Amino acid sequence: MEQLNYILKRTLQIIPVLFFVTILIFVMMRLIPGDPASVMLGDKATPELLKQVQARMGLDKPYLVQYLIFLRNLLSFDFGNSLLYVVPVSQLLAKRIVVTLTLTIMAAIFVIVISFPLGYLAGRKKDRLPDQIIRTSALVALSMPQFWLGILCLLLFGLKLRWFPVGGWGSDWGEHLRSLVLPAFTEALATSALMIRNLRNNVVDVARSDYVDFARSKGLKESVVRSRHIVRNALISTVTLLALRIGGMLGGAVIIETVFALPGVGSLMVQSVFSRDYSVVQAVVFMFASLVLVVNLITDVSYSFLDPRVKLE
Amino acid sequence: MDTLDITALPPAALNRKKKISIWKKSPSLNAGVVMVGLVLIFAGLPGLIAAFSPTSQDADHILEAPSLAHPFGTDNFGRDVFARVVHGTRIDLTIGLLATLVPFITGSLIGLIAGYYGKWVDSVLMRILDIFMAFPFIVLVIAIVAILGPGLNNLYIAIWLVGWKDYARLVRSEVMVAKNAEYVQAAKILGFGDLRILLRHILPNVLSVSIVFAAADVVMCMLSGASLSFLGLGVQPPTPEWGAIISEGRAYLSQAWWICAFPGLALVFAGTGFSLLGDGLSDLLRTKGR
Amino acid sequence: MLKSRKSLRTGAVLLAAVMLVTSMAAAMAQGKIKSPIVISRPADSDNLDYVMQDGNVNIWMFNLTLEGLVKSSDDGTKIEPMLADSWDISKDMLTYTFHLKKGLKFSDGTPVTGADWVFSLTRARDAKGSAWAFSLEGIKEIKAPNDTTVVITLIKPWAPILADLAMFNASVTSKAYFEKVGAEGFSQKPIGTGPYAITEWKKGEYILFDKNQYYWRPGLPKTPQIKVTVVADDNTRMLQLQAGDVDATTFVPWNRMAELNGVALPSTETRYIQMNSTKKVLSDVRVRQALDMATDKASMSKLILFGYGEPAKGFMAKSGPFWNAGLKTNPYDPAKAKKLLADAGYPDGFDVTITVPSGNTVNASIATVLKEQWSKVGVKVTIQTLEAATLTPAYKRLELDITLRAWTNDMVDASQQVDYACVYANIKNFSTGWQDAKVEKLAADAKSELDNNKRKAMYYQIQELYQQAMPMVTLFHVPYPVAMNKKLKGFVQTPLGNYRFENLVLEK
Repeated sequence: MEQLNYILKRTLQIIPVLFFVTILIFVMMRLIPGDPASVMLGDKATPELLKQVQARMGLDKPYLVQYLIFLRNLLSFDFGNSLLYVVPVSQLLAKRIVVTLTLTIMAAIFVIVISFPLGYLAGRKKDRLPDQIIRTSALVALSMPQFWLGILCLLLFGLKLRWFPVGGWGSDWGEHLRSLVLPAFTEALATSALMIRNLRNNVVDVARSDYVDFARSKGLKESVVRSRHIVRNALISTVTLLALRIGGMLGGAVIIETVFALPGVGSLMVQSVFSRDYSVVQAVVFMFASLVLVVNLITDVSYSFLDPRVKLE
Repeated sequence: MDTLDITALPPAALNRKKKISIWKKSPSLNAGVVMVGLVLIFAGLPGLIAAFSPTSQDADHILEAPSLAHPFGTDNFGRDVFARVVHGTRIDLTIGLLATLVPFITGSLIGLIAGYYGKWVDSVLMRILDIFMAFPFIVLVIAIVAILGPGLNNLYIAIWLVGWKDYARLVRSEVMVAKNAEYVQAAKILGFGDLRILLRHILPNVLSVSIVFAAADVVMCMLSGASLSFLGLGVQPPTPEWGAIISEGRAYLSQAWWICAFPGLALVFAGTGFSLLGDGLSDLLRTKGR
Repeated sequence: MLKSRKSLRTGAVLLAAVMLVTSMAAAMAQGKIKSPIVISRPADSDNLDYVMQDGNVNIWMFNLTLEGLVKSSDDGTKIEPMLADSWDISKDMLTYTFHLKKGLKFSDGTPVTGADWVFSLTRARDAKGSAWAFSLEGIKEIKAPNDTTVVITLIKPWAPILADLAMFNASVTSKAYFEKVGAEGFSQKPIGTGPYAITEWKKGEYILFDKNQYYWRPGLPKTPQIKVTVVADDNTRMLQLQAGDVDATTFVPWNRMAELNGVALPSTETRYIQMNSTKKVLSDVRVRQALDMATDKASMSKLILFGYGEPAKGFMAKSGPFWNAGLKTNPYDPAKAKKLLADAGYPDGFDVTITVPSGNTVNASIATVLKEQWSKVGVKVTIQTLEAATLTPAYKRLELDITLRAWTNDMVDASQQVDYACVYANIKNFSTGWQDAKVEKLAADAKSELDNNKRKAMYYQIQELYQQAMPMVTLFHVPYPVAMNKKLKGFVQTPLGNYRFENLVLEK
């Protein structure tokens, strides 16, 4: 009951945060110099032409009216038309969200598969050879720029070995999944390195903490001590870290998408900011914000499952 | 979990003994100190180490492979990559430290307060954090460049504005566990004040996760120069900075691997040094905290 | 070790599952045969309404689907018949009567009527917010007495009218189709009489072109399907070509041209240093001339274009008409530059900022080389990177010192480029803020001068005056870098940038 209450309360709190985000993004986009009409026209923008195009885009209306139109559209689950592409934003977004979500899920699986066993192993074997090897490799992985790693992956597994396509998204789900392996791996590597380091230190930390000693002294079986105490406690900040990273990935991995030629949300957002396509930017930011808020909520709730001592308040 | 374990409060003598043994037993701390020390020497005296200027061009010697004269080869303008990497050290060190330190402090403090006091304090702070998390970094960066202008100083502002949220959430999650731990409960029963409990008992224990993250964050901040240069943030050409050198060199990956590889190795070296230092420090803190 | 073994085992199972799924997918994918010719480019189109859009990402694609009365030749030097076989010009040079081919059909199978011509040309001239309306502003009236005759009346004699009519915005489209799908639908899938029709456009991914079944030229196009894909990252785009996933790629980085057997196609692209003449230092013509002399263009073009471009002569496009090959330009002469700077009152040089758009490696490289070269005459350059959409309004307001610019002609005539470079009211003369009444009058006169030799003399004179005033330093003429599969034949890109793929074919 307590948990249900908490979840309900937190869900309701999402609304004012989202509202604030809509104001922030609206104001910020209009504060940035350059408007969609002048970007579209570039050098050829004479003042008269600019006015005509602005009117066509609905930018001649007062800011408040533009904002209210944006809000009204949101409430009716319609994001309006892209100013640049002149098609409904939802049409542009629908497929890209699939790409980004699939990429994020696959990357998250990679992160878990890579980092949980390695991090745990390093923590248990603290300062011994496995620990040293794992930690050093994690550092090397962390220091590799994504675009660099991505190109190397494409070169080796795409061009030379031909295991995976050289970028692109393909046309059916088999191809989609296949073309996501390299980008998901590239995306996962740095995060895995972070998680390994975090998990290792938590395991070391918890393993020698007093309550584990206490649990042992109570005569609990070693396996119970490990599963109930060490792993669970070690996971709390690790789950936080994973959630933070997943939150970031959901916003689209611009560099990964560019290197692997994937039509994801990130590149659409950057392009739209560059072209000042207000309606697309606003929609993407709103979607992204909603997703991140839900991930945060899930993370907070999961704390109490991982460690019953954490009270939800 | 109602039973209080009074032995969880550490006797002072044990504390001191552990501290000494850490210095002796922590190879990571020692290695970290040595490596960071080396980086500091490079940063302090680049002119003594590199024979060439990091910016002078030579159209007759472009894209030359590593040789005795140019140990790291030359880039597409005929500049000595070794000189660029060495001269880049100071800039990258500054970026790594400055960009990490501020969010580390502010974020950890916010996380500490939110996690410890809970209730509405936590709600308000975490909803503010939500806004920052929910707002795409790229949009913020472009806005900062547009309003404040491009360049390195504004890179710091961008990172400071958003970097704290990772620390805050990490520390908060740890505090939420730690505040219910036996030793904190015991301290409360003994009537210690909030501030004392926070600083003496909780902070040292939860900070280790922050320090470990910060050590890795230093590397990520150094790399951000490379990943944000396409937005105009970071150093301006032709300033040598590792991330920027790697970013410029990527066009020549197929012809001149050395442009990317050597600054990359420098990053790995510095990053390893800081991480070892961070691990060692967090070991030290943990022993001190109990 | 129970838990750790368990988690390791779980990890291994998950990893195996991922491997299995992907290898199955791999097996499925190998069964497929690549059918269309695939051509990659770094950026997608954004709006295909040929009247309302602006940008080379759109313009260069239009020749695949759209045609007009006349066209520019493949070598971009003259005007050739297209849908009009011939035309008569009245004695007063005000009325053009075009005689069209019979039996023309749009790609949807409907016949081309006179009403379609009147609708298309009128819309091109009158549409509010069209960046190209200027090209047809000299037209008074468009009439079609029957389906094979178009009569165009001019307000006054207008030398570039045929070149204007050869531009993409004067193409013919179906009035009925436009009215059926509306302006928005049209911008997604315009139809015309061209060799191809758009069947699918996945924004940011690809455009699929299918053969126009009703195309009027027998035997063309040679290839049933063309897919134009978007791959923003240069390295990845080149890797795809090396892997054989694409048959041709555009915008090959200059340093990769030799390795990939790239071809440099003649173009009208010219690169400039755009100097803000309203800034005190740069307002002095001696300073601008000195900067020109202090720029070692040959060395720069070697460093940046790897030998594929050439130092420019004058501001006009080399492959375009009326380019003055005999123009006298400054040689690289730092000593003389230093003297000129001293004469202008800057014996020790001055500080100046060059602003480049972020993410543009060529411009960043030019700025980096300029910083080094100009330092030899005492000019201290600071390079500043700004996101393009922020940079453009700033230089248009004449706030920046120096920016870098590239220009490509859109028509087979000098008038478009000269209008932007020399007629202040348009865009402050390429945002240099420089003005010259004599040049402006020449530019206006040249447009209504119908004698080709006199026109040529006028444009030559404009180039000379421009060279003396030096509002921009012209750096080099740059070709279009393309790399392709050896078996690919018939790849045409005109100097204006237009792709023409009706003869494109992949030989066996």
